[in-house]
Formats: sequence, C-alpha cells, structure tokens
Amino acid sequence: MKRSSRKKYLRKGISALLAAVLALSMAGCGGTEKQNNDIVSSKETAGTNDISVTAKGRYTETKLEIPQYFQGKGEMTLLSDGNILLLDWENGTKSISKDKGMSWESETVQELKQLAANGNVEVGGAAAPDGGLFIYYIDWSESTEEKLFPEKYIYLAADGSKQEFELGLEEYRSSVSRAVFSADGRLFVADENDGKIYEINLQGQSAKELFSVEQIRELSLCAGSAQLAVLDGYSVNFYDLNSGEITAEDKLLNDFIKEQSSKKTGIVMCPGTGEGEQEVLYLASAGGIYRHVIGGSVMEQLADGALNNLGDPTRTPVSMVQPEEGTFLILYDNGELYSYVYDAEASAVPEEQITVYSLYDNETVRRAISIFREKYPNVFVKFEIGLTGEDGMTENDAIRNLNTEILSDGGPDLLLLDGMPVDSYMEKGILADLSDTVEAWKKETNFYEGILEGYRQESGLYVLPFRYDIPLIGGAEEYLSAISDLKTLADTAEQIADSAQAKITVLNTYTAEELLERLYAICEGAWVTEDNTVKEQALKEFLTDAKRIYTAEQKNLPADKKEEHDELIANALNYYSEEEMKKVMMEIDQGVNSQMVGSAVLAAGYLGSMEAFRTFVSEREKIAETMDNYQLQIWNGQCERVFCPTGIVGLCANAQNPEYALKFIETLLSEEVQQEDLGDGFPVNRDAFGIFTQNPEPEYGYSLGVMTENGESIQLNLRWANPSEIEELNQLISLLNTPAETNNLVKDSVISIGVKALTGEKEIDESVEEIVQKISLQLQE
Amino acid sequence: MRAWKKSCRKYRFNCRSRVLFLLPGLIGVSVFVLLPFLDVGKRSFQTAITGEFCGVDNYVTIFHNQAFLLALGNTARFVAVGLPLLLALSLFLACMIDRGIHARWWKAVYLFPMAVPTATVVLIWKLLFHQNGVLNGLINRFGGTAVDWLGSDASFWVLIFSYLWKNTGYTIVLWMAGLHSVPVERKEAARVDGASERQCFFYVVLPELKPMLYTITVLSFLNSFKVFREAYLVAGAYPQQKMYLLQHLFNNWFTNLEMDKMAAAGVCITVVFLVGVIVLQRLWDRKE
Repeated sequence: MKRSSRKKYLRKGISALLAAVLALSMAGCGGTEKQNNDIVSSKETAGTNDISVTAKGRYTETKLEIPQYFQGKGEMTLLSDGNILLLDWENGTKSISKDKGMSWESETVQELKQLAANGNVEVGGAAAPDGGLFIYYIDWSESTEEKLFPEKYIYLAADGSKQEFELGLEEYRSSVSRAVFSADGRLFVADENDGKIYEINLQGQSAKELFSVEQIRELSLCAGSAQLAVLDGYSVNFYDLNSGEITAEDKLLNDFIKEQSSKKTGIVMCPGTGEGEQEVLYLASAGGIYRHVIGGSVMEQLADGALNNLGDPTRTPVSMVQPEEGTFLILYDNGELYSYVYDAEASAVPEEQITVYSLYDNETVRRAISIFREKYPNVFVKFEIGLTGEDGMTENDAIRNLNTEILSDGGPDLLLLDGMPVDSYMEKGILADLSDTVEAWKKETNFYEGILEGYRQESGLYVLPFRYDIPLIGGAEEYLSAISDLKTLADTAEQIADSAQAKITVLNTYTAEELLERLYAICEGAWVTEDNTVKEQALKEFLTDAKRIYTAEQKNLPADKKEEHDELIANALNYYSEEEMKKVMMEIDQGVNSQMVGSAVLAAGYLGSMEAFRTFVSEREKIAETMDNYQLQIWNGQCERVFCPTGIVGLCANAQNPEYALKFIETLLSEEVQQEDLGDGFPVNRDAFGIFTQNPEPEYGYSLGVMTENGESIQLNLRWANPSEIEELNQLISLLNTPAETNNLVKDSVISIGVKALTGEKEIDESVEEIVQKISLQLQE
Repeated sequence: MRAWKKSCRKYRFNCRSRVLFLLPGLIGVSVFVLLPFLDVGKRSFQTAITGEFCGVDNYVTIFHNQAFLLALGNTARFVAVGLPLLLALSLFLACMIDRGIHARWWKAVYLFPMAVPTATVVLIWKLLFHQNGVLNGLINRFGGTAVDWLGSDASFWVLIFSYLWKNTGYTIVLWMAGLHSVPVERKEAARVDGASERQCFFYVVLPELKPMLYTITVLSFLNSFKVFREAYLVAGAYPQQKMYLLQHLFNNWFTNLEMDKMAAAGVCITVVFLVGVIVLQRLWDRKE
C-alpha cells in the first residue's frame, strides 16, 4: 500500500515536472523579432518596433549653426576643458565652441591658411586636447624621384610655440593620411598607403612604427585614455596605450563594422569621456549611434538611424564628439552639424507612423525618408526590408511573410514592388488606385509621363515607378539605322560578323547567358498576352534571333579571349555578388569601353546613372576620333520604348495612414529627392533632371587607363556630359513608356532553358515547348 | 443504496475525468484546426482580399484552372501508383525480414532514410538525377541513352522512388508489428493441416493484418504529402509538369495571394480525403 502510494506521488511529481517543462518550453518558443540579439536598443527600445507603446525617451536631432564659410572639410575635437574645437582645412581657421556647439568663435591659423591657399598642397592634421595643432602637408610641387612624398609637419603648441620638422616616412615613399591625439596628448598617425600606424614623438621629432593593418577600405583613428582604435573599413584594431600591445580581436564589433560598411554612409567613432568609460567606444553609422564596451558582448543602440539623418545615404558622418553624457555632436561631409541630445520626455518614436516595405534596401527611399522627416517631423517612417541577407530568407519566404501580414490587416502602408507579384497585387485589390492623386501632382510637377504612367491599366494606376534604367544601343550610323527590333539586330549582327569590320564580338557578350540576360528586358513583354497565355510564336522568334546573335558573337571569338573573359568574371566574383556582376556586365559603358578598345562593334546595354553616362560620353568621344557617325538610340527588342524600373511603389488599399503614405510618395517623386543621383536609376521627375545631370564634383577629375586589342595604351580623361549630350539623353528618356518585367520567375525559366537552345544543346522547338510548359504553369495559376 | 450512490459517484468521477482529459486536446483541435477550417470554408465563398460574397465562383474557377487540374491529377496519380507500391513492397520485405535473422538490425537499416535530413537527401538526389549525374553516367557506361530525370516525364518516377525510399523502412516496421501479433499457434495449426506457405500467408496471416492495413494506408497516404519537401527543394516552385503537386500549387497561390482559390481547393481536398477515409473505414468494418 505504501509502495503504491509512493508510486502515485512519484507519478504525480513527474507529471508536474513534465507540465512545468512543457510550459517553460512554450514560453521559450515566443521568439523576438530582433534578428541580431547582440545589438540591443537602449532608451529607444520601443523605437522602431511598436508605435502603440507610449515609451518615452529618445535622442533628438537638432541642426546647429556652423562657423561662417565652413564647407565641411574639417574635424572636431573635444578639448580637455570641455570646449569643442572645429578645424577648417579649406579656410585655415579654427573655431572654438564653449557651449556644446551652439555658437563658435573663429580665428585664423596663419600657417594653415597659407597652406590652404596653395592649391598644390594637400593638408590635414589633428588637434591636441590642450588645443595644440598638429599639421601634416605635402607640397606636390616639391615631389622628386628621391622624395616622392615630400611630407612636412608643423606643431603649433597651445602655448604658442611652433615646431617644423620632417620624418621622411619610408624614405619619403609614404605619407600620413590620418592623425589623432590621445587624451594624455600622445600623437598617433596612420599611413594609408602601407596601412602602418606610428606614434610621433613631438619632442624628439621621430616616429615609431606600432603595427600595421592588412587591408584598408576607409581609415580612421580614435584615441581615448586607454585605447587607440584604428578602423580600416573592415574591422577595428585596438592598441593598448598603457601596455603597448595589440588588443585581441573584438569579433562583435568587427561583425558590426562589416554590416554597417555595406551601407553607403560611413562610420565615425569617438572615445567615451565619462567616468569609468575608458574602455567605451561610441560609433555613428547608418544604423544610428551605438555604444560599445571594447571586448564586450553588446552593441547598444542609443539612437536609431531611421529616426535621424544618419540613415540618409547622401550624408556621410565625418567627425563625432561627446561633450557630455547624453549628448553627441556629429559633423557631416556636406558641412552640416547636428547635435543629438537625449530627451527623456520625448516619445520614443514620433506619434504618427507609416510603414514602407521592400524586399531590398533602396537608397532613394532612404533619401526620401530623410527629406520626409524634415517636412513632417511628427511622422515616423518605418522602412522594413524583407531580405537583409542575414537570415537565409528567400524572396518567396519574404513575400509569404508579407502576405500573411497583409491578410491579417496589419500590412504596410506602402510597398516597393521590385521582385513582387505586381499583377497579382493589382488584380486582388491590394493596391489603391492613384489616378486622381497623380493627376493632381501632374498639374504642379513636370514628370516623364510615359514612365510615370507606364503601369496604367484600364481600371486605374496602381503602381508608380520612381527610378529606372534606360536600354541604349550605340554604334556606327550605318548599322544603327538598320536596327529597329530584335530581328534587325540579329540581321545586323550576322552582317557585322561576316564583314571586314568584325571584331572579337559584336555586342560584347561572351556567353549565351550574358546575351539572354541582356535581351530579356526588351523582349519579355512580347511573349505574354494580357489574358496570361504565352505567345509561342513570339517566344520562338526570340530564341531564333537570339541564337543568330549568339552565333555571330561566337564567330570571331578566339578561345583564349573567352578564357580570359571567364577568368575576369571569376576574379570579379571575389568582390561582387553574382547579381551585382550581372548588372555591371549589362551596363552600356561596358559596351562602349569594348568598342573603344576594339573588342566590340556595337554597345548595347542599360544606363543607370550619370557616372556611367560620364564614362559613356568620354569613351564615345574617343571612338569619334576614328568614327564620325557614332549614333545613340533607345534599344528596342521585341518590345519598343522599354524602361527597366529599379524602384516602383504602390499604396496599400488598406494602409493605416493613407494620408501620410501619399505624402511620402509625393516626397519620393519630388524634385528634392529625384535630383540626387544615387546610382540606382534616373529620375521620373522631369524638373529634377536638370540638377540630377549636373556634375556633383566639378573640382575633381577622373581618368581611365585601358589597353586596346592592338596593345596600344589609352589614357582617357573622363569628362562630364555637356548640355547637348544631356539634352540628347532627355529626349531619349521622353520616348520611354513600357515597363520591363521585374519578376524573376519567368526570367529564370527562360534563361536556364534558353541557354541550351542557343548553345545547341536542345532544339529551339523543344526549348520553346519546355519554356511554355513552365511559364504556362505560372501564368495559369 | 450506499452502493448505488457510490457507483453513481464513481460514474460521475469517471465522466468528469474523461472530459477533463479530453478537453485540452479538444480545445486545441478546435482552436487550431476546426475553427480555422471553418474560416477557410467561409473564405471559399468570398473574394480574396475584399471578403465579398461571391457564391460558388471560386469553386467554378478552380475547376477551370489548368494548374489546379494538373496538380490534382498528378497528386492523384502519385497516390494511386505510390501507395499500393509502398504497401506491397514493404509487406513483402517485412515478411522476408520476419522470416530471416537479424530482424532488429534490419529495422535500424530501414529506418535510416527517415533519419537523413531533407537537405542531404536533396543534395544526393541532385547528384544522382542531374542530366550529367551519377545515374546517367552509369547508363552511358552501359551503352544506354541518358535521361533528363528532372526535366522530362521521368521526373514522376523520381518522385515515386523518393517516396518509396523514404517510407519503405517505416512501413516495414509497422507491418512487422502486425506480423508479430499474428498468433503462432494459428500458423502452426494451418501448417499441421497441410497448408502451404503461400496458403498460410493468404488465409491466415493476411486476414490478421487487415486492421493494421487500415492504419498503414492512412499513415502512408499522409506521408505521401511529405514528398513535396524533396520535390520543392530539388526542382523549385515550378518543377517539370509531372512533378507538379497540389502543394506546389498551394505554395505558389499563397505567394500570389490567391486566398480565394486556396480556400476553395482546400475545402474540396478535405472533403475528398474525409470521404476516402470514411469509405475505407466502412469497408474495413464491414469485412471485419
């Protein structure tokens, strides 16, 4: 009896234990949405996740006055007395702020002013905590064979004394590119050429090499009282100022640097200055402001980049100081200075919110968010990116997650539809009709209407492109006048390949896949009817003509050139992803470059930025030295006047905040946003085209060195497009009115099967049948 | 009287404890299965996003949808070919093993495919069935013509092979449990009466296995849906037409937000499945 009672209790005990384990494990299943647990958000914890939580406390951003004439080429330093010193390299002034950047007192530094006035001199330096100035400069007019880098140094001590000296780093074959003082006044410099870090003894006027960094993308130094931090763009290397030893790798910080470096904005650092903050580093990047204890396990997000200018891809932070706890001053490359002050009473996020969802990150949207925030400070724009590349999620997974959200009435307000099932969303009523709004906008703004209304349907306008690439073809007039579609292109390619003017290739494609990738956008629209059936005949014509072009491409292509090309691609894949590589290969400037070096007769590809157009016009000019009838025209395939959208937006019909969502689209299409060339396509706003096509850096010149097929070396100065060339481009854009398909499913099927048809592995009829079978399934669903 | 009261109390206690034991499961099934299914039923008569009543339009649409008919046909064909093959093959192997030695060792070997992660299986399938893969290499070596296993109609048989490979072991184990439950005395009595091995199997063993056959059929039918994982990972969302199953279609419909079609198709398939199970059960009950 006793035994049975004990058994009973034992059974009950086990049951209770199992129930507790089950309960605990279920509680453990409740995952958090944060993907990176190492990055935690403090103070703004509720910041970007849930607007409904009325959390308080946020770093608020305020624009500060800057010293007169300051253009942005300078550096801030926190002095030991708590004042802030701002050096202006261009005007040769130093400005002191005693009230945390609110006002400045400027004075000219004669030595700096003289150097800045000499256009031949490259100058830089650092300020010591006591206000002393270290200046390094190179007068290039003094450069000789022996002294390749004739670098000189000046130290203007706080007491007014001055030292001038030379170090002759690496026997004048290297130079300083960054300098910083530690809290106790020790001077450290970095040499960007060799990646070497030195400590300079100002009394002894000597340099001692400490260590070197292996690879450099972007070098910056930061020194506090305990550590010297050297950021090389990939990682941060620490040097212990007391022991003189290199500190062990900080993996968490390095992972963070890699992640943030992939964004367009830079990273700046400043040491912790508070009590017990000797081992603390503050960083500002696109993600916001972060606090990190060196060697610690957490990147603490203090301020979210989504809520301030740090998330704006057009602004790069260049200098940061922390004058007191809870306050940061950040200087941007455009000369703007902002303070970030913790306000315990401010709501963690602005009261209104709109959500923009995109599968991929988008620079133009980030720029629009920044402008929109200035216009509507009470609205928080939450930018959700489906594919961050960190979690192995596929496009389909992300779309399914989005669909779940939409069906539960909690979807975003705006959708960036690149790679999404646009037709299905329009058909299902997910997207709102924007016809009336667009009509109203058109009264005030001048758009490229063919592009803006490219997606118009009988039932309305649901999708608006805001960036796009332009398909172009360039070459001798005699050829181009004969090319009007894919068939005539194939005829001309065959004619060229058989003629005496034949080069290694006709269109600069070396493989069947490259050719199909390039032809797809300008032909796809011809294969599918509006009622979702496949036009077999059109598809057959596509493969037939593509095969003719491929045969012409291969006709004069020697095996060694093909191998060379494959090797080049393989090497490039070490630096670029496959998708990036495909995009680069399709750019028109690649084609015109091949024309210039004599490896292609025609240049056919896509133009997506003014930078690429700069290369194009410069190379075209070079080609024109031997060809007086070079012509550029829209590249038509089986479809005419196609543009390739690189950014398309739609308003969700059940948007939570449609009013602000529409205002956001308006901002996205506004002159202010559209005029920025972020390398992701051309503007839809015609009024913005003028500024978009202006040279952003007229003071800098670029050149290009290439070797022709004859072994001749060409050194080409890349010039900006002149007004007539810009007008030529404007006229070409005005012709575009047909959007290319952005969904990759059909493309993948056509290319994977089409390659076999082009290379002869399969008959064309057989390939068409297989493609139709695959596409039909997709279309019939 | 006291005994009656005691009996009543015991009855009430038994009833209460049964209800208490059943309740959590019932609530779970209701909340996570029955209620959502009722919602699916409701959605099958509504438009996808706006939720407007549209009668039987969705049902009409799916039965005119070529992709649905293809997926339905392929799934039915797959079950019709794969299920009997699996049952017969596994029963045959179970009997062989039952009569042989090292039965335990064989059990472990046959369960091995279930333990192999799908990702690994997919890699092996790709190596094996690629146009320039191991299988075609062997075929070429012996003078045969290479087959595009995943890009032609042969892909259906790849799917069947995959299903058999993965599930035969598990089904063998189930059959063996059934075989062990057949009384040895009955088999011995039949043998004493002069029955041959074949007669012994068909007239003594097989009738004893009938209850097990029902369970195995239902389980194998359910497992047949799991072959989608391998098919999806090997050939993607749009495989060769013969490999295109209902799960492919549902997966793609969800991506395209075709909730109305999904709901209608879901209801149809559930009805077919339920009718199938009920008919199967009736047949068994009648025979028993």
